[in-house]
Amino acid sequence: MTGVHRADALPAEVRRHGDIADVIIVGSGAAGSAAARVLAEAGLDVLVLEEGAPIGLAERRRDVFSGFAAHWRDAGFQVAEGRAFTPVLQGVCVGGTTVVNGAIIHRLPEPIHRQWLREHGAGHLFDARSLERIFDTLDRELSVAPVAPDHQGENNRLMGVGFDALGLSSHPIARNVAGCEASARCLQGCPNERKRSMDATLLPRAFADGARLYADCRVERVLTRGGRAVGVRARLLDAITRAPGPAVTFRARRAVVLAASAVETPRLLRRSGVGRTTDLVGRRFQAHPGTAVLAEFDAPVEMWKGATQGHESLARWDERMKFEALALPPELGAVRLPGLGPALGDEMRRYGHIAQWAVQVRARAHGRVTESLLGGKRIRYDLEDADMEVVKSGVATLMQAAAAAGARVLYPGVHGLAERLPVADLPAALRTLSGLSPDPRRVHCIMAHLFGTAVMGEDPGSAVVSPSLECHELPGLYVFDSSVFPTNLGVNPQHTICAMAWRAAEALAESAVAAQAS
Amino acid sequence: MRFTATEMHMLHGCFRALLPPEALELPLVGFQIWVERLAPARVAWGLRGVLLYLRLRCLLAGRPWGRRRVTEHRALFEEMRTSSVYLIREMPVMLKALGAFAAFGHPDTQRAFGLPVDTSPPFWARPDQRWERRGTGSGGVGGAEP
Repeated sequence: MTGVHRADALPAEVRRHGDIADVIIVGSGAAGSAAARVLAEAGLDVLVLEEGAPIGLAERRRDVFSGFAAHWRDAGFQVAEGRAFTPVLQGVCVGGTTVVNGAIIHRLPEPIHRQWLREHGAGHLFDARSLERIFDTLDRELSVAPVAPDHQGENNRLMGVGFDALGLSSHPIARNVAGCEASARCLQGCPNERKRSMDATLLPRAFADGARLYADCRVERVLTRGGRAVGVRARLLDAITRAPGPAVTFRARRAVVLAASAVETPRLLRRSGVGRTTDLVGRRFQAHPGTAVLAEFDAPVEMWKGATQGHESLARWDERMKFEALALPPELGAVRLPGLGPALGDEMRRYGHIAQWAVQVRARAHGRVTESLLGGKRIRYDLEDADMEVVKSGVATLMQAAAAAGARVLYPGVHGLAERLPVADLPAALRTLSGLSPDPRRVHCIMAHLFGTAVMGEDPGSAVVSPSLECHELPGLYVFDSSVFPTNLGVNPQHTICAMAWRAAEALAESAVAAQAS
Repeated sequence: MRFTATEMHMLHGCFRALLPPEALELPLVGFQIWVERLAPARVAWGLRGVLLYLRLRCLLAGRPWGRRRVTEHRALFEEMRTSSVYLIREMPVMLKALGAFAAFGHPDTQRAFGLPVDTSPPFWARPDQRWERRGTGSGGVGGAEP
């Protein structure tokens, strides 16, 4: 596939003097790829700059540590700080997090959309009809379909059994995969290249329309002239060590689009001088924190067989929780199981009988992304008491579902409950859980869906970008990623991020093409 | 950030206490070297802080870390895991997570526990410990490496 260029393979001319394009897109995840796809098709000259590297087939056959080191932000060590430390998972590679996520597809939930229209002026571009049209197109281009029964595997199937028994509706997950081989390795990047992530779908389409992508290219700031964004300054990274190399300037004739994620985009905005009129850049950071319950069954579960995430329940979505099956590789399972030394070995000998299901919470908490005094970023985030009550309630549901599905031992992962809980003790444990203080230090949460650090809105006093996603303070600079989302979604955001970027890119293409014509 | 030789030795001692015996044949020092190279500074400083805490705690208890047996190290971690202080009970979790990444990402350990997941060893366990060039070069998205 042509179109992707490693920094060390760029022509000397580009390494010295940079490059020029109609539109420069920073980031090649869901937002950046969708934007590139639309803008290139419209005939614009598009250059995508990606900090990470492309991932070939050989690199996908990895253990978790190697996979995290290669494809995840901060080698998988990125954390949010609050009363508890919470890992924040983000991909950093060509295709972004879409390469290493669970491939779960959801459209923007209607109640959330209505709130955005009512309170944030999102109707300017993001009307229901336009979004539905784009979602339909994305479904086709990304091969979205529910997990086939023969790819479910026991971990997913048992979740359905448990939720059925509780009277909670659940269903196979719609995913963007084609020809899945059910190897439960989505989080390391599909080893069989079956995931229809951005590097396999929208990016190749953009390349076919003339777009190009420079990998290993870390954008440091947006350049301005006459009060308008005119390009970016970037560092080319060493392909092996990731050490920063020469600084290069890339010029944009029409626009600069930031699609670098809800963590990196606000940092880039601030480094570029945006955020002087409001103090909103980096604030209102939102997420879907999640935690999981493990359960041991008599019969083998073998989480390594089946879709990584193949079954879900939205039965309690109105109560701000969503349940998902989530197959864990043994490395991560060993972290969650109790026991040290030989005792951990005893637990791991039963690992083939363990299932894991998770609850992700549409948390009300707001955090903040800032620069650390020690250098680098700092993510501050603390779950509110009300959020923790939702987490507790979700854990209770997962334990009940596992018991109903026939588990004999539960691993709740809650400080204050037994680490290894025989199912017979569940009623007492549920009473204890309900009485525990809502302290985020009681559970190990992980955050994967990030929003809100450069929110959209009509009023420049209360929003960073306009409803057309152009920066209020800096014309010519757009933000297309989930930073602009006014709230979190309660469902996996990849499809919504793609659709919003797609729609905003359509509008940008129309104005750019009109300007070119005139 | 570079760890001192003492810190590296101590980290290895932590893994010996935290991991099952089946994992201790692995070249864990190679793994430690890569943790040192890849961990962001904040994490590396956190790890250094944990090791310092362990040393001080053992010292104040009148029996330095280095003079304790593996079973004593394990007992110390067990005690810390039940602490009411969040930071203290998270320290063994952090160390166990690192150790588990190494131990259970290796096919030899997986086989020992009947987990047929991986077939080839991770990069840190290969004889040359080569951190291969990431990606497949220009135009390499989706392509197989030679």
